Amino acid sequence: MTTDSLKKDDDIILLKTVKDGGFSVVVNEKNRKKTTGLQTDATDFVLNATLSANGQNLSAKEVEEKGKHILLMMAELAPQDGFEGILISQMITAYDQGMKCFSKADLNIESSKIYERFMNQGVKLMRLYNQQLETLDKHRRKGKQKMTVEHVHVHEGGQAIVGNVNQGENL
Amino acid sequence: MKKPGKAIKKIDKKAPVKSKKEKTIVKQLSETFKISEDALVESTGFGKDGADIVVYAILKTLIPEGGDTKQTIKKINRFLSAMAELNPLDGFEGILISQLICTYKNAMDCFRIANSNKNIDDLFFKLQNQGIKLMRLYNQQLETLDKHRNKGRQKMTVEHVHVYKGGQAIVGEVTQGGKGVTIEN
Repeated sequence: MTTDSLKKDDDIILLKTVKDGGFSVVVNEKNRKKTTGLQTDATDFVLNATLSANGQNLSAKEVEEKGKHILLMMAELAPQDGFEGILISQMITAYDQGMKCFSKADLNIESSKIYERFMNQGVKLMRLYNQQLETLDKHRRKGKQKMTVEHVHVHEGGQAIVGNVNQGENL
Repeated sequence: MKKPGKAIKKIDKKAPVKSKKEKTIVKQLSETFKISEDALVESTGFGKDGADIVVYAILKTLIPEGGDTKQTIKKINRFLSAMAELNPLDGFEGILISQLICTYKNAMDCFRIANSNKNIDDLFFKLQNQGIKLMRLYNQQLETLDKHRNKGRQKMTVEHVHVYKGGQAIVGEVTQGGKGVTIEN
């Protein structure tokens, strides 16, 4: 994700307007699927939400920079369907906010209370990222858990069950 | 004491009967916002009758936000096109997917409002925590959807099982029925 690739694929963002705190991103049609895994108006819905969540309190130029980076990041993470696109937008938010909390903690290093609070918040957000990544992996496996059992030796007097064991409800 | 059977009969008589001419919510929506009726029904995963409930719930979450009709149409269009693209295969999925999108939207809103505040105070942490909770919910919802699509099956590959003399082995699913009720004489 270098600035070179940005120049090559300049049309990834077409337009950006800031309107009462909200954002409006319009993405080239061929890049819609790339960034969010969606194709219709829903793309704008996801991108606007992502930018609005992460681009507050920034100047117009900073927002543009950040927007480009977020879109390129999303494209690189290659969502394969809409669920993944939405999840990846949340993952980027969790990451961004987590890092922000850590940097805020560093700024308040002389006040242990504020420092601790930001650190804890950052840890929470990073833990969230872990869960999200696990969810993404599970989704890519289609929710299947694969288990491979290679060798089971059952000797005299021994018993083994290989498989799911469920107990019915007690009356 | 009144007999319960009688009370039910009375209520039944008083219950208003829906006339067949009454317009469904889907029909009203497609007329006011000029969205195709079939597309609306399709996006919910339900048939024509069940679609009403989902569309009504979506409208309720979207409309109070802004009075601007143009904005509302935009919002509804976005929401429904997102639903259509996520392709619910049945009514369960339709409901779940509408919840997924609501969860996502609200989570992002939490972070947006938290960050729009220049001063960092209790509100910042409260909003962020709410956002984290919602994102965690999204994870659960997506996992539930995958499980539902997968019908809860797990794949297992077993390669070698050696059972020696006197040993016992079960390979496969083992399900125990519910315990019976013991009656004491």
